[in-house]
Amino acid sequence: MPQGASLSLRELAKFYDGAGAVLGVSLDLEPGKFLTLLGPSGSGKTTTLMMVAGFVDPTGGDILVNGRSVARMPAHKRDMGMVFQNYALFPHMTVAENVGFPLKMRNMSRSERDDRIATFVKMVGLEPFAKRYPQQLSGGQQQRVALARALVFSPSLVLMDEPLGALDRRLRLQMQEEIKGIQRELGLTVIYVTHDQEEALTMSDMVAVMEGGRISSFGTPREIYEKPTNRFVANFIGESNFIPCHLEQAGGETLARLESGARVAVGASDLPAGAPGVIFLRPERLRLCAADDALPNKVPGRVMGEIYLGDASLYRVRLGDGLEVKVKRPNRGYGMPVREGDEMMVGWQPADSIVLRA
Amino acid sequence: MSERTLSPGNIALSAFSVIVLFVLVAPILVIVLVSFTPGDLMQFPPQGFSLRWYQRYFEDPQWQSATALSFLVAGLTAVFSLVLGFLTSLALVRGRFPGKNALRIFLMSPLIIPKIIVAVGLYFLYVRMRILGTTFGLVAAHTLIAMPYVVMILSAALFGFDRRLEWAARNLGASPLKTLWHVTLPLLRPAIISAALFAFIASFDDIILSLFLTKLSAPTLPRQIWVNVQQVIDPTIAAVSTLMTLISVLGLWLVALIQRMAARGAR
Repeated sequence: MPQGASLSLRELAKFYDGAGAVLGVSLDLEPGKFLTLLGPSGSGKTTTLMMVAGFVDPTGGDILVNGRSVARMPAHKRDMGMVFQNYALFPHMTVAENVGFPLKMRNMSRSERDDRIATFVKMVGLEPFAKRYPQQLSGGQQQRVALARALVFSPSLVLMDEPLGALDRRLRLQMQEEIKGIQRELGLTVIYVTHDQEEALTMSDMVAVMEGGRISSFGTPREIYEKPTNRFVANFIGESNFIPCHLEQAGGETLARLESGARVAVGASDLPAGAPGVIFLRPERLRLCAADDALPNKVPGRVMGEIYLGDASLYRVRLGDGLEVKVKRPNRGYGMPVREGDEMMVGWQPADSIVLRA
Repeated sequence: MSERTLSPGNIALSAFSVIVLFVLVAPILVIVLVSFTPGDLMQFPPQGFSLRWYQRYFEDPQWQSATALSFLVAGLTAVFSLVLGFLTSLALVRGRFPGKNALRIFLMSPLIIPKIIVAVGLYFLYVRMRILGTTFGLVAAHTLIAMPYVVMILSAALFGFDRRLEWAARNLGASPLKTLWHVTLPLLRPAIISAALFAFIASFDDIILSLFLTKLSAPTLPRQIWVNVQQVIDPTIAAVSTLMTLISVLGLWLVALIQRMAARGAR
């Protein structure tokens, strides 16, 4: 049974002096789910979070927690725990006092409070540091205090504003795992804001990609990554290839005519025949192969260079019409050797491609 | 670190500094020494050592009531100017309203306008309001001249205040008032104490407003000194002056200490 609440946003909007920061955001999130608002800076993700928290008054729309509107409720009555970007720990309070602050504000008795503080300080592994002040802790430890403080009062929603941005990569990965683990165990509903797409994919149940104050795409990480609905999302998350084309109908089958004149089979597309589009292909779904390979779609190209990534290599391949595509190949230590200047075929399965609006 | 050189320029600069320092400190030093004289006259250098003028000060009811009034007025001034100054600083730093800069400059004006003009103005105003010679009237006047210091110190502190701490408190369930009490005020404590001490000293040191606004029968300490200088000129004045200087120096030392502690805490 998740302890978190459900969240719905209805046409939530914020205008500053006529200019829109958030232009009507709607979404529904089930209890106990981890939602990431992902987008570049200025996309409205932080403003959306601040409206949910109650620090920014919406110009329009509504926020529903468990079906009840909280849009007009003052921040301190919303019962949401927030982890701020730079933690916002109270410098004049010890770790234990910081964690106990929300309980004190709720007039919890001293003994009950101490029990809960002990439980949560232990949960984030900071028992030896309970009497220390925030300035005496490392960045990662401060992060844990902020987390414990945001969770200790069993809030209906947990809000996180780029909480891992200040940590180095190794610590970030470790904290991602810990946060995800605690979220699952306690059944928390989390709204997480980040511009780091990798973080969004690994942690979330649902991802809302934001662009220019709107939700550009909403779905599970797998849907967002594998079946992007527009070029912005495809481009923002992961590496992508876009091959310009025109759609053609031929005997009940949809074909795409490339600029070189070659025709390739594609999966389903909403675009009408004759419309200009781009074939979207992830580098790892492309394969370097010989001309007699069994793949249905093959285009000739020349290998222009290799970027060595350790576990894989990324090849730049120039196609016949001058367009360069990226092909990712795992370094398994066997298979066809590839060198710069090689003439090869780039092949893919029609189902791995999506034709998007150009 | 650069080596100290004995160039003519450096020697001249050092000499000049010593002279300036001497000119500034010498009168205080003279007063301090005179206060320990055993004789009946202000005499420098003093002949011998005695605490009789300090004893006189502590035993004389007139001096004692003047001292009590000065402490009362300075204390109330600190309280009033802190409350008003804090609210004003909040408005100046966080508010958005037309004429904000004009208000800021207006509040600083007691620093620029000669005190004597303020005193004359208040004198006539107080006569009409029938509060001339009241403690309240003097506290109000001192609050006026203490405000610039309080507003300057508190708005600087508020300007550098991390508002996300207040957001965090609100988010964690603290009402606006509880946020102020548990987060904002404790974090501003060093600035508040500094501002209070400055306000206290601004009032405690004032003679001009006191001359115009107090009754002769109930003077503040500086006015009592003034009266004594005109009438009797005995070394009690030197003893009182020494004590007053001590209080001011202690106050400023406290401010410096608090600021140093705050700087260390922030690290």
